[in-house]
Amino acid sequence: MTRRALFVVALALGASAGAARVVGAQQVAYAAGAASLDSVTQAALRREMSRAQERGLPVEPLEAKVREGQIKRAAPARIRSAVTALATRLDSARSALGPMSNAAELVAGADALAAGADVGALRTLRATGGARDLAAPLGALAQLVASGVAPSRATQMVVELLKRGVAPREVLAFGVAVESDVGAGVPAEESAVFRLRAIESAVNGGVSASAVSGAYTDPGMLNLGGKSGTGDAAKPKRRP
Amino acid sequence: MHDETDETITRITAALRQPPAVDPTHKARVLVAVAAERERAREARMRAARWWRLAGSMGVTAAAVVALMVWRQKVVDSGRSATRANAQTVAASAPASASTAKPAPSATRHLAASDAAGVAPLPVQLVLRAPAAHRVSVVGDFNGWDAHATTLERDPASGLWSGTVALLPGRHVYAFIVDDSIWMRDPRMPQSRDADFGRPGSVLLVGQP
Repeated sequence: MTRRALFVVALALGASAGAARVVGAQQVAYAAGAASLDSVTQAALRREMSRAQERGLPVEPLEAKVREGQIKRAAPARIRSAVTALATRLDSARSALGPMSNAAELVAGADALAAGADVGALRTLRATGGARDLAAPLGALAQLVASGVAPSRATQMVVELLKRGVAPREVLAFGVAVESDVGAGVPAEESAVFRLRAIESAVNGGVSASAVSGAYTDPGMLNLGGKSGTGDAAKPKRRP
Repeated sequence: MHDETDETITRITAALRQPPAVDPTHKARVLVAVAAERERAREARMRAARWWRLAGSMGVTAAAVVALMVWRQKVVDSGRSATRANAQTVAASAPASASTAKPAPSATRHLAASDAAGVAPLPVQLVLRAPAAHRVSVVGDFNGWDAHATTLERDPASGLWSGTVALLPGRHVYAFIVDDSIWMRDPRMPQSRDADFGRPGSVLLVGQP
């Protein structure tokens, strides 16, 4: 009787495992391609997430970082290190921006720190913007610094936009335009100054800043070549 | 003579019918043994019942696991279908659908639009020429690097794989995953740097003037 019962149990488990494998075949296909994490790494990442949650930091960016590492088949130690570094940046951004900062602001702030801005720049933006949502200005700051604009200069420019009450859409367009220019060979600071002037004159003249910005990027005017994007590897170059 | 024989037989029969004298301790031992045997049989039955109950519960658990897997697969499939449907809708009528298309949940890189009033996602078409591929998906900061979130549709005539995603203005990094195993940058776009993992993707600037 006992043997028969054991046989039935084994049969049931075998059948369920087989069925699960068949059902999950499509899903497993990519999982096989992504790096799997050992139990030690998983435990360490869980601890990191818990700590972040306890500190009131957004966990989703950390989870995305884990997925990014897995999809890129990074070594578990490297994934842990990247997640820890991101959690630290999020924490620093929260300290600088204040406890009431939202998740988007913290992520953008962490990006700005990763790009080379310091916590002082984040504090300055918060002091200038007050309770306004700073996600767009912080995103622009990150993009300017990553494009090669000196952090202090980039901070001044974004503060200027904040003081003038430029809309988030225009602030984002500013960062994108500068990075795009840099990819086309324009020196970063030069591009940033021209773009900022265009926005300022648009604001003063009551014209949409993005409309003026669009006119400014006329390839014929700046001889930029109309590139659709820019790489990180691209360094600001002197125009011939 | 005949009567004497019958009488003898009757006496012998009567004597034989008398139960033999049994030692009472032997009788007690036999009764104990019988009771013990009954107990053993009862325990065996209970053990078997326990095993059957265990087998039953494990069977139910296994069935639940299978049902869960089926349900999860359906959810994933429906998510993929929804993504495809969204992409087609956005591609068909970009300006109208751009306002309704929600941005991917974790545009972690330069996500700069928490106040939705000022910034709306824009439809962006991603295209890869891969005639021999069986499946192409996109991973990037805009979909949380989830390989199942954004799959591309193949045009049989051209061998082009394409899909449209709604992205917030800013800078995005992404790559294609071909046949669930090959990491491929977008050959039309500049290369990103990847300080964290050393595996560059492509850079996409959305909302540039």
